[in-house]
Formats: sequence, C-alpha cells, structure tokens
Amino acid sequence: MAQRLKTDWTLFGTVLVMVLFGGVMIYSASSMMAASRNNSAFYFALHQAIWIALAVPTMVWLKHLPYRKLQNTAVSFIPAGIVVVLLIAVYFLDAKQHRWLRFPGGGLQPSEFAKPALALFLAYFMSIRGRAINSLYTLLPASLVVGLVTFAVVMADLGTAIVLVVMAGVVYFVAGLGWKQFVALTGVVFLGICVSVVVRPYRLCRVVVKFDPEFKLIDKVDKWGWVRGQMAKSITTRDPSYQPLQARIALGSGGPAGLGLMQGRQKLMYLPEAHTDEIYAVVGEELGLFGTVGLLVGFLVIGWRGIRATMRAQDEFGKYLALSLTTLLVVQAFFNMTVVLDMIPTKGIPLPMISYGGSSLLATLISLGILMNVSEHAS
Amino acid sequence: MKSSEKWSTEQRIAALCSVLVLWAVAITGRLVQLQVLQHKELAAKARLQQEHKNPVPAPRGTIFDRFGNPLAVTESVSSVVVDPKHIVNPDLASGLLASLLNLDRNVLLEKIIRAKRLGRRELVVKRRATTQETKNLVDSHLAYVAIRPDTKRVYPNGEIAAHVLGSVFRLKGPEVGAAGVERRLEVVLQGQDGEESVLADVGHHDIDSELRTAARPGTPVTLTIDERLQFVAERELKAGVIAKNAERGSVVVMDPYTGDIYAMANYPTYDPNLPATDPKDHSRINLGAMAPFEPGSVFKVITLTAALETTKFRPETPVATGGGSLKLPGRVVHESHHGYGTITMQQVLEKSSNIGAILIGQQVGRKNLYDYVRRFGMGARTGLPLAENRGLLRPVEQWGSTTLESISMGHEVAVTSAQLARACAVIANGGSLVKPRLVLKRGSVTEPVEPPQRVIRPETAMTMRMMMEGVVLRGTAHNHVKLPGYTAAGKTGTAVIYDPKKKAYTHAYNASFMGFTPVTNPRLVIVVTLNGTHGDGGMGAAAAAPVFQNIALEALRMYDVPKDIPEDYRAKPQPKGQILADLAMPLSKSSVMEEAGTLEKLLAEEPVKIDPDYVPPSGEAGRKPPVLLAGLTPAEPLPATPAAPAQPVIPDFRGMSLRRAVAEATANGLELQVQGSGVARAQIPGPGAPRKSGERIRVVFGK
Repeated sequence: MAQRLKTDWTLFGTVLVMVLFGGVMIYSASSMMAASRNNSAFYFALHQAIWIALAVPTMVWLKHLPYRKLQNTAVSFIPAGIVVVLLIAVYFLDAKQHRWLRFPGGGLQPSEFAKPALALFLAYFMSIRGRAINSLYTLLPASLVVGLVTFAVVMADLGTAIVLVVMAGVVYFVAGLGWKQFVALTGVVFLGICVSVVVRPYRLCRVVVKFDPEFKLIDKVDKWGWVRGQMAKSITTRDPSYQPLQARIALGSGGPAGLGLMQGRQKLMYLPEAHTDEIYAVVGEELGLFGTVGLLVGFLVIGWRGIRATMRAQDEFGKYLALSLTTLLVVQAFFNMTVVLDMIPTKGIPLPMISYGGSSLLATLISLGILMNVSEHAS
Repeated sequence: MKSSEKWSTEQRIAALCSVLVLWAVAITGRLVQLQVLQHKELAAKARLQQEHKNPVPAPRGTIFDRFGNPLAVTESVSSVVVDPKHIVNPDLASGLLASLLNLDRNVLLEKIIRAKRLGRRELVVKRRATTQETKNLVDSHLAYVAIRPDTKRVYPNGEIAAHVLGSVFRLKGPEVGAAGVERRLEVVLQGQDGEESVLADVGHHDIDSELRTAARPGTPVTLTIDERLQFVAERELKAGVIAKNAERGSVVVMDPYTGDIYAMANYPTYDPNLPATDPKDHSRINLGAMAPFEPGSVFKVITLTAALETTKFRPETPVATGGGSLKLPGRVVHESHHGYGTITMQQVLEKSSNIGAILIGQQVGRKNLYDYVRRFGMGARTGLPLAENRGLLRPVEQWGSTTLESISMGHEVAVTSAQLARACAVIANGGSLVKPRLVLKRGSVTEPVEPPQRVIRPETAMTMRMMMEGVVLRGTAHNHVKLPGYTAAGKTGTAVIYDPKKKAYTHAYNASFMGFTPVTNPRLVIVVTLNGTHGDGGMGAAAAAPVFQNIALEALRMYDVPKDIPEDYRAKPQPKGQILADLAMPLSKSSVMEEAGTLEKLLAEEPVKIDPDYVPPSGEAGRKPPVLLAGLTPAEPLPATPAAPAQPVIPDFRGMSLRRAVAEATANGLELQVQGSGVARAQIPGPGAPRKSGERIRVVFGK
C-alpha cells in the first residue's frame, strides 16, 4: 500500500480515448433517429454522457483499489449471486425481452454485470483450485456456477451467454485443462447452444438465413419440415437477412476512406441498431477502413496489456483475474465485429465502450478498472 | 492428467493469443473485402436505397403578345402530393385534406379511392397550394403527404385570347398543351425537366437534395396578337353578340400585307385558367378557325372579282336584274327585298343583289369561278398553328345544276372567318394571297414571312377596293360603318343557317362583315361573323358591321393610322325608306353543311382535354379565377383593388415636362406615345376620359 504504483498509461489512455470516441459515434449514429423519435438529437448522446460521467470515476476508483482486497469469498460469490437473482427476477419482470430491470429514469441489464461477476468468481475459484483443474471436484463446482449464471443469461441473451462460456473455457484452458475434458466441455456447450437456438424461433431464423438460406441442407436432413415449422413461429416481421445486409452496405459504402464523420447515411434508420449493436458499421461507413481497423487495434492494445498483466501477475488471483477480464472484453468485441461483418449469425452483443448502453459501459469500465489495477501491480 | 502437462501455462497463453490474433486477421480480411474490394458494388447498393431521383420541373415557355406583354406564363408553385397507398382511411384523409386545402371533399374522396384501387403511388391533390396551406399541412405531420415544387400555367389576362392560346392539362408529368397555340407549339414551349437526387431516410422523408441536371425552360413564343386589340375585339364581339341575341360569333383582325393576326376573338369564351370539366364544352372551340359556315353575300366579292378578271364586266357595266325574280332550272330566285331593275355591277355589290351576282357568276362560268374561289384560299387550310377546319369547296365535277349560282351568292360553300380574312386581304393588299401568321418569334428568332402569292391582278384589286368602298359609302353597310377621318371598304353578308339534323334551312342567320380600312393603304382587315341572329336587325349590315366599326375605330387610333379624309366628311345620305337587305338565297337543300360539320362533329375531332386528377375547390369563393399578383395567392386576403371603386380616368398630362409625363404615365400603368418635345400641349384621349384597358395615350409636346 505504501508503495506508489505506476499507472498503466497505455491501457488507461486507450480506454479513455475509446470511451470518448464511442460517445461521439453514438451521437453521430443516433442523432437523426433521436431527433425524429425523441424530439432531441442529443437524446442518446446525453444519456451516454451521463453514464460516462458515472462509469469513468468508478473505473478510476477500482483502479486505485488494490485487487487483492477482492480476493475473498464474499466478493466472489455475492455479486454472482445477486446477478443470478436479478436475472431470474428480470425474466419475470420484463415479460417481453427478459432483459431489462426498469426503474424510473432508466434501466439496467443484469446480464451485463454477470460478466465481471463471473470473472471475479472464476479468478477466485481458480486461485484456490487452479492447480487441480482437471479434478472433478474443481470442474464440477466451477462449471455449476458458470452453468447457473449462463443459464440465467441464456434465457434472453444468447450472445452474452456465449461470451461467458468462452471466457470460462479460456480460463480453464490456461489453468491447464486436459484435452479430454476440454473436448467434453466443448461438446456440452455446443449442445447447449444448439438447444437454445432451436427453442427460440428468431434465433433459428438467423442461423438458417446465415448458413443455409435456400434450405438445401435442412430439407435433406429434416424431412419432416420441423425446422420450417419452428421458423414459422418467429414473430419477427423483418427479414432476418435485412440487418446484416444493411451493415454490409454501410461498411462497403464507407470504403477505405469513409464518408466523413457525421456524413453517414445508413443511420437514417436503414441500419437497425445503428447506435448500439451495429455501431461498428457506422464507424466503417463514416471513417472507412481507418476507423474499423483503428478500433480493432484499440481492442488488440487492451488485449496486449491484459495478457501482459496476466503473464506478469505476482499471484494466481491476479493472473486469472487479468486473464478472465481481458478475454471477456476482447472476445466480446471480436464477437460483435464478426457479427457486424456478417461472418456469423446476428447476436445481440454490444461493442464494449463504443455501443450505446449504460449497463454495458458501467460493467465494461468496472472490468477495466480492476484490470488496470492488476496491470499496475504487475509492472 | 498427463496431457495437461505437455503445455505450460505460457504456451497455453501463447495459444490463446494466436487464436485471438488469427481472429483479428480474419476480421481485417473481411474488412478489406467489404470496404475495399466490394466498395463500389455496395456503395451502388447504398445509393439505390438511400437516394431517389426527383424531376425538377422546367417552366413552359412564356407566350407574349407582339409587344411583349405576357399572355401565358408559368409560375413556380408548391403542389400537394399524396401517396394513396399509405392512406389507411380515405374518408378521414379526404376530410382532413379538403378542410386544409379548401377542396371539394367528395371529389377528393372519389379520386383517392380510385387511385388506391389502381395502386398508384402518387396523386396530385392540389397544385398551387398557398404558403399558408402548405404550412398547415407541414404542421399536421401527415405521413402520406408530400409537398413538391411544381409549375403551373397561368393566363394573367384570363379570357383574353383564350382560344388562340388554348390551355394546358396534365395527365402525368408536366403540363402539356390541350388546345390552341399551347398544343400546336408544344414541342417549342415544352421545357426539359431537370433531375435532382434526394437523400431520404427509410421512411421516405427527404433529408437532403442535390441537383444533377438543371431544368431547361421551354422556348418563349411571341405571337402576332396585340393584347390591346384582342381585348377590344373580344369586348366588341361580346357586345355585338349580346345586342343581337346571337348564339355565338367570331372576329379576326389581320394585317393585309404580312398576314399577322392581330386579334382572333370568339364568343362565347372561357377562362383557360380553369380546368375543363365538360368534354363537350362549346365555349372552348375556336370558332374563327374551326367552325365553317356558308358565308352568303360576302362571297359576292369573289364572284365579282372573278368577273373583273375573266369577263368584260367593269364596275359600270349594266346588269339587268329585272323585277326581282329569276328562273333557274327547278327554282326561282328572289332578291331579298325587291327588284332593282337594271343596275351597274358596282350597284350589284352595293345593294347585294342576288340575281345580279347569279347573272355575273353565270358569265364567269363554273371553271373560272371554282378557280377564283380556290385562288382566294377557300377549301384549304390557312396554315395557322391552330386546330383548323378547311371548310368545303366541292370540285367542279361534283357541282349540281345550280351550284354555280349558289356559290355566286355564297352558298354551297363552307368557309371559316380566318379564310374570309385571308380572302379579304387579297383585295386589301393589291392581289396577293398571304399566309396568316400567328407566331412572330420563337425565342429570339423571328418567324420568316412566307412570300405572298399573287392571285389577282393589282388593277383588279384596286377596282374591287373601290367597289367595296361603295358598299360602305352608299350600299348595305351605309349607316352602319362610320369611321370619322377614315375610309373603309367592306361587304356585308347574311346567310340562313342550315340545320343538318332537320335537313332544312332555319330562320336564323349567319351575319357577317368583312372589310378593311383605310381604303387606299389598308392597315387592317377585319372579319366579323355572328351566328344565329334573327330578323332584319340580325343581317350582316345591322349586326356585324357595327362590330367592325367599333373595333376599327379603336384599332386605327391604337396604330396611329394617318387619317385619309376630313373628319367631318359625310357620304350622301341614303334615300329614306330603302331597306338594304343582303340576304343570300339558298337554292338547294345544301349538303355542304352536312359535310362540313356541326360543332358536335368538330368537338369529336378535337375533344376538350380534361385533367383527370383535378379536384375542384370547395364553395363558390374558390371558383374565382386565380389572380396574378407577385407574392400573393388567391386564398390570402387581397389588397383593396384600385380598380374597384370608380372607373379609372386618364390623367391630365398638359403642362407637364416630358420626364414628368412619362413618370406619371408609368405610375398609372399607361403607355405614352410621345410626339415633339417641350411641354405637353395636347393629349388624346383628353384628361378625365374613361380609361380602357390596353390604351395608349398620345401626348403632343411643344415649346
């Protein structure tokens, strides 16, 4: 405590620039829509600014809070427990989307907070049982918690669930998971994803439209027309290929140089979710290849600093904490980009720090605050 | 357990990093593919969905009169367009739009329902919406309404020259000519629309626009019409038709040398600003060019001219018209009033003797008469850029036993007023058939004058002028044509109207007068025809000649034609009690008019074009013709019109300097004709005289 730590300026600066850049892009992407729907071009930008004002101090506070203080049972279990309870509550409270915990003046998405909560839990658990990773007594309880949280999330938000599972997988893998166990776990997760896709018609539609839009394979395998029947239950009126197509058009029309900041056109309500999940496409349209590759590099920098902290961490807890938080952020960002680039079916994953959304921003900056602290101690 | 020890933690982290880097490389690859390789293709897709092209309306060419006064102009207006597909409840929408735009609700509802049924995406509800109306519409945020720049043809003078100008209508796209010059010169007047590309959001709300190609306005056209004279002609014709209870009438005023049509008036007339609603609207027919009729006695001019050229007849040659009746094969011809005995050929014309004309015509012979009728341009189109009827003149082979005699009196031949004017010009200009000219300039290029064609000898024309002057001095037109200071020549004509339905002649007349003034150096040829007059008062002399006189009086003054006789010159008074009737007599149940056609037949050939999308305004207030005032639109309160309270009078220019007089005239909207220099000494018309539209004030200045 007595020793003054050196701030990881690379990480801190990158994060700050990206958060502010996100604010600008949110204004650019949402102003036209907000002006027509909310009667103020600044509606979304202003909300985001308030959240930035709230989240950045939180991050700085966590940056100065020695991470080892988080290494106790309470901190590991209580947030995860609260998140699970909230997720279940939200399932019933938000009858439509099962996502939002609404209160006057705004709302929270508990699934976003599941990410740092689960990261904390895994780091704590691995710091204790990491050396015996392949023991059933380690895997079972850990996977039970991961499974519980994931299950609570997957009800409404498959994208976040996948990110959580991938993070857990990475932590297991780095801790030294054996190949057999790795394959077995992967199989279970894949099966879980398949089930969760099949039971939700809109997810099924997205997957089918991406991989087999002409039903060539499906009609061969599924001779009873069950998939078609299930898809017909989808209540989404919009063609599932519309959003990816609009994202491609946005990115493509931007070209290498982009149309210029604020000059994008796809945000004129052509591109759905322009200021949230698809904001990467707006960046591509307005700032071209420079913007998209720039953002990618930004996340790679965060990944580099995170892995660096992982390698240099003095203790197991710090190592796993840095690993899980880094994985969380980078994997989520890459997932979002992959979706926007129409390489995999559409999933509702926001781009960390850039997309509009208070919960996402707060949860991301909480993660980054902790990561920074680990990074400071590691250097 | 063993397998896990193969890889250290560092190796595992390295593996994780490689996966992430590979993933990043894949993303970069995809970015390059989309943003560099497919850039053009996707940018085209983006434009296709984000932009749409709108036509930028090109204004039609303005139509001017010969002095540059606008007769037809195109205004830039805002049109209200609705997308019928987006109207969920047509009843509600039509009620709302009708109240906001002051339209007839029921008609609007009908149009919307029809457009919806036809699947149209665009229905122009109102052209020329006022600024207040567009503002109200914008404020009401109706998703299916758009306000678009548009053009609208406006005829600032209303009815003036309506038949010459014609009107426009619109089916799709820009306004196109429906009749008259607007139709015949469509290619010249029509501009070429430009194009703008508009950026719209996904809900088709326009965000931004960019001009791609500028609109090319149509070429302006200058007519030979003189707005002031046209006004006078229309006013006098209307007065004549109403005074004689005629059904209709037409007037053609022409320059005998160039063939320039100064005025072409018809009554009844219409306001071309108002869209046509009745496809059988008789008032939209240009009678002067389109309605053929049997001319009657005015045709005797042609018979006698032929006689002067082909026989030994001279003006003083005696013609034995006998006791007032003449036996022809199967028919007895009577004079219209009583026998004239033996009279000179000059008197045959002056008294309009039917028997005299027949006897002379018989001397001329079929072949020669046909030849001369053709020489005077009958049976052929005059070449006006208007819908035109060529009348009917049968070839000699088809003539019946009395056709020669009929044609000598102006029956069994159908002509239009325009043809008569041209024929009269032959006498007036010394023997040349001119091609009537209606278009003076297209853009800045003057229309070439077609060289006139000599059809009779100059001496013959001179003689005929003199004889026709006799008609005014001593003959049938005496007492009906008085032009103080000017000589005039002419011929009256009255013909009974044939009813093709009943296959019989009626008791209604075509009363006509064709003449020119002054006699020695004719400046104007004026042909007046009134159709459907009755009784002695409805004959050519009493009905048509006064109209000629009134128009000529104003025209001579307008054109400053030098006077050629003393103003107080009086011709010898006609002996009292002598009725000068000039009724030609039909000899057979003529099939000419059956062939030449009724107005219904003409309308079938040239139907009135109707704008199918036109929605009439609600209430009587909206039916008023639009007023052309800069920045003002009809629904806004108009400023107190200066013309309303008292009839405007001509100001007193006397004593003013040249500069002041011009300033004063400009302030009063008058045209000055300045003579001399110094201080204004005299003016015509004098101060305090009622001011008439299109008048020019002559002011003489002296030191």
